[in-house]
Amino acid sequence: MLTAYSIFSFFLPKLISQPHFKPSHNSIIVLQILMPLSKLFNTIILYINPQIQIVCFFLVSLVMVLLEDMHGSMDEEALEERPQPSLSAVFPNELIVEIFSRLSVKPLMKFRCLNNSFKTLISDPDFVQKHLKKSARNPHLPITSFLNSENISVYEVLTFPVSQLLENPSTTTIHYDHFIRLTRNDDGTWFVVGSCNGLICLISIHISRLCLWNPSTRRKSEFFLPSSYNYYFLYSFGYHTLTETYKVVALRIQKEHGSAAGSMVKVFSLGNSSSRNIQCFYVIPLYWFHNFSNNVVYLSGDTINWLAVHNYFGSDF
Amino acid sequence: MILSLDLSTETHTQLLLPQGFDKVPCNPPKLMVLTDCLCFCHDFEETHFIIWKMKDFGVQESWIQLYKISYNNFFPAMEHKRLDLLMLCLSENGDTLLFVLGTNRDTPLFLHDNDDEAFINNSRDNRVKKIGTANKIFWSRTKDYVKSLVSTN
Repeated sequence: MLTAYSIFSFFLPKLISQPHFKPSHNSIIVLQILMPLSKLFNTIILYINPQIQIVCFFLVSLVMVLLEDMHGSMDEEALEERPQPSLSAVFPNELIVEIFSRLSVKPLMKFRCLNNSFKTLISDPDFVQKHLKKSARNPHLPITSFLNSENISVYEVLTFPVSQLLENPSTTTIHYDHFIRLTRNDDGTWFVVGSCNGLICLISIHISRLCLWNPSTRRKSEFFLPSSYNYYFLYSFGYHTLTETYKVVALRIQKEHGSAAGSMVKVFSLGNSSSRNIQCFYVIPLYWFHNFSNNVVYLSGDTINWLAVHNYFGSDF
Repeated sequence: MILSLDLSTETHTQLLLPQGFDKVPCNPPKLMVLTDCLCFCHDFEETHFIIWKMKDFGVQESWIQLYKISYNNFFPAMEHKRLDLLMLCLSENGDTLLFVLGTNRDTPLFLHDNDDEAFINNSRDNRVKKIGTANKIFWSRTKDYVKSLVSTN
């Protein structure tokens, strides 16, 4: 674990030796204060969660920059020569990337609005991937819940961290965050098809459209499905890394006289909204109507997997 | 067996299930992803459920048994037939497993989700705790999810 202490002890000496870093009298004092502080941090961090450590560090960093700023504005002669102080002028870019990649999406969305360099960094695809890898260590669950609002009962899809359940399994309250709630569409309620890379794929109850939703950034995109997609298909969701394409796979079991006669498999690519039929399955996967798509899983590494048991099609078939 | 569709080539292959799983159980077997690996869960003689993990995807020999949990640990009063189990998450160290129990039902879509309950199994003390929630949650529709900045476009 990269602790605040290691950041302090490792990066501060490095920072001072940076050629572009010309410390003012003020910042040297600040650094002199920060050095012993880092030892104090080492004691405290044993008791606090790593994300808070990073935030603490970040706050100290901001204070440092602000002090620089104050010094600059007081010293008018030096003001002209002094470049506009910013976090990136004080800290090496790698350090900022390292700290940012450990932050949760919410503060990052706020930093995005602070200035252009933060916006560029946070939107950078490499940064997004780096952040995703770190974020994967803190899994969340997207849940469908039932909410009574203004005497109307509606289904809602919300997310919450697994750690919340593990810490206190017997009394968990899921707090409704109206900002991350995906409300009903014109077509009725959304149902979850699958999730990967922090995106949740939902399908409308009338199977007329798909929605790709990132609850953390609150962005969503909708896609219309061709009319050949309907209730009789079992839907699953996956990602093709090389082409960076999200795909929805629809599987239908055709039956004749009560037994399985064949299957139909369609792939809908969300990138260009194209649809095509692919080779059908020779083995009929287990088919559970009542659990929308629980018997099919997407595995990172670009595969979608169905379970099939010889002579066993499930009770609904 | 497992039918695996490769999203790059859009072709499918067949993978074999762990050896020893040969008869059709009364409770539906399930596939799931736990700690980035393909996992398979099935009923064992109506007394336990077993979770297998395929450590190296596509390699039949890499199936390892992760858990064998007695139904008595969390459902002592009920007959163990007709249980619909779904594994949701496994902690990084493998100690804690989050799973959902729904009653196996023959009725179609969305009708009986109210019966869903979620549990946490801790392998250190082999105890199962039920998750209590103030809100009604439809556990069996839950998927894995991480927070990310990934664009939806």
